[in-house]
Amino acid sequence: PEIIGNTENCMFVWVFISRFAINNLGILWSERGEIKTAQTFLESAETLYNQYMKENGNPPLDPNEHFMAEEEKLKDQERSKRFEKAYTHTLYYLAQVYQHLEMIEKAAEYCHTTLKRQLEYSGYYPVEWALNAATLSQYYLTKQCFMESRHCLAAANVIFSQAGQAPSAEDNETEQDQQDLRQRKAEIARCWIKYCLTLLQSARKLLEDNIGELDPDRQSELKAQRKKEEDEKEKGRKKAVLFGTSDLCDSILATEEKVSCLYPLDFQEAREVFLVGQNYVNEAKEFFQFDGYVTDHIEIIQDHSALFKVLAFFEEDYERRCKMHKRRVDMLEPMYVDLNPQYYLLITRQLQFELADTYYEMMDLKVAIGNRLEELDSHTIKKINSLAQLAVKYYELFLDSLRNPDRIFPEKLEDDVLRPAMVAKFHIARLYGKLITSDGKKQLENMQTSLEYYTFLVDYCEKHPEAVQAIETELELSKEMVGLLPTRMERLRAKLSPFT
Amino acid sequence: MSRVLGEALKVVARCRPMSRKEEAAGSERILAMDVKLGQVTLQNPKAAPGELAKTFTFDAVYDASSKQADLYDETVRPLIDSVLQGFNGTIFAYGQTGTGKTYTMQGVWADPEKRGVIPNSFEHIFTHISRSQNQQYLVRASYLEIYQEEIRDLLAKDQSKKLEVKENPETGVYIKDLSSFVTKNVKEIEHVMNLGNQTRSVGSTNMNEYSSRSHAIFVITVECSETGLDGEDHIRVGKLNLVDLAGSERQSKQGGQGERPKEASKINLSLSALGNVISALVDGKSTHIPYRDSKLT
Repeated sequence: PEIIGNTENCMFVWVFISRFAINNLGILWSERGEIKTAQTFLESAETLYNQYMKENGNPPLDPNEHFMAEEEKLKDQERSKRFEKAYTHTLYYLAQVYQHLEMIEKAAEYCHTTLKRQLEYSGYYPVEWALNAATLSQYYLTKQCFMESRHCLAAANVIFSQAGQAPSAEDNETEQDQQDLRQRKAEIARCWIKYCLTLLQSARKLLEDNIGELDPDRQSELKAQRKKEEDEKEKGRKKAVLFGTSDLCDSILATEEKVSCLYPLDFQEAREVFLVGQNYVNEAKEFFQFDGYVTDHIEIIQDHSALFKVLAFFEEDYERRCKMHKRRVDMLEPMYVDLNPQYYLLITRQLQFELADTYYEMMDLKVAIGNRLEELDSHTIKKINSLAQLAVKYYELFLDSLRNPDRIFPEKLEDDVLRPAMVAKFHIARLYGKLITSDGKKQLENMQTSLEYYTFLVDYCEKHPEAVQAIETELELSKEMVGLLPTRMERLRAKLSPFT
Repeated sequence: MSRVLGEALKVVARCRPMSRKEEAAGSERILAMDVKLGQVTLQNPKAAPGELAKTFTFDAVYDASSKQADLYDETVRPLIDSVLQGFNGTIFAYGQTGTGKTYTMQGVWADPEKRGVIPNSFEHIFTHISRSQNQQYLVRASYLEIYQEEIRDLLAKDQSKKLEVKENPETGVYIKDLSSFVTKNVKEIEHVMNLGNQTRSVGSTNMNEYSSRSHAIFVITVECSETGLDGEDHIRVGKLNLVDLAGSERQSKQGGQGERPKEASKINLSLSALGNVISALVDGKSTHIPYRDSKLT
């Protein structure tokens, strides 16, 4: 439809179009054609609004007003409020249209603007608004837009606190309501945890080399790049869709300043983000307690463990790294022990695997520390062996959980457990190869076990060629070991019994 | 000590006879059942030429002439037996409103030939208990209803309190504060069920519509204590869930428009649904989407 210059006509056309579009939308549709129609109408309404506001600035008369007597006409303020509210709905409908058309980025943009306008023009419920902003922050996380994500979360905190302040209009605000409030606050805390975790993990991806260690060259590169981009960031921020009137803005800004939205590039910066995440973990845990909210509680602890894991990446000192992994074990193991696998099979498996991996990581660190010394003392050897055995224990428990009720290991593994099961076998093989013993006979036994596990991998992939792509690297190494080990074992056997 | 219990899943189909109205209207029978093969065949009366009938196979199939007792003996009896042994079992009837779910599950209590799964189960359980010699039994009953994301305890005095779903690390999911009553015979357990049914119908203006949109679960817990050869008391606990599911027909918000072939993509006019729109944008893995209403999803 053409945009007519005359403001009165402009208003009529706008109202006509948006009302017509709104009516259209009330109809169920199953064909794409109608969504596109709605999109056209709504976008026209949007364009008209912008054009009109640019040229005129005052809200047009509500169509009903043309039929009213002079004294009944709406006050300017009321007219403006209705007009803006109608436009907010236009944007909200557009968000849904874009979502149905799978134009997700645009849908998010319009959701964001809708939220913003709710604060400025329409009424809003603080708790609901806060939850919506927190949810939108998660969308931005999936797009690595940390500035926008942080802004949404900070706004969520500020607006949520308005709920607590409002005098209980209903004096019969029940215990249930209080509890709901606490639960919502804990939910927002969990969104913050994801923010901190994702920021750290994304930084790690940028900084790691091909063996998973921090690459100092990449680090310097990124630091230099960041300095250059400081100006760009400022411009970006000014352009961004920000929430709130001026006083809200200040509170939101204050909350934002507590945590960075830039990739942490060294241990100091990583630690700061980690600490914010840890605070939110403690907040969320207070509500989502183990007894009562098993699944939620465990997810929070898993996030806490992940925070430690990614922080360890930034830590240079191996001993301190090891301590971080020890913290992980300390928080995961007690939960694991109390869980009934009959009701929590998936979580039990996750914990078994994570505990095994963590002990494995710790063992590797102790070996690396040991390698720097002149020779391994008995204390370190004991430590390495004990960690290796604990890792084996948990990998075995995980593999056991895959057995059928008759305790037989499945012939063919399901897709979702294939890689973890193979990795478990591979790690066990490697762990037996790492055990340190001065007893030759024991060493032969270990090598034999190691060989059995490497062989299992190779055999399985032969029988099930489709599994190969899931564990290419491990398979390569396993094939090598299957070739090397028998020879090594022969040599050892010969050394042990030279006279027979 | 936990055991992995072998729990089998059986799916059984039952077809009701045509109603008088349907016969009078000369309705065509589009369903054929082969009891021996356990198959149901659907023939589309408006089929295009050459379109084949669709056949579905079940563990068992009961046609319009099937008797309540047959269904019970073949399909349900073994399940109740295992509950009495300490295993868990669930029975639910799934289907559109008007297909005979209530007849199958409840039947006509007063008529021994037309009694449904539930009265027969009660009879079965208490007959077994009365015949048992060296065992002590304790039977408890609970009754809850799920309607629009809320859980109601149908046996509670205070109906305003909504129940919460919680998780215990050792015992799994449970409903907090769900009341249960000890029942010593068929009459008592029937009484409990009637109590719950009455509560169910209170507070809804259109009973048919209400019951076709809510799920009701009647839970029977059977505890059996036996003195073993070692002189110790061994306790087994079996749970039977009897579920009356809501009608499976599509619930149309616009008032009985019937079925739509595709998922309805309706625009929500109210800003209260903004949260749902935003949630739909988030692609789940490394994120947390705050729960909106309840933990029932």
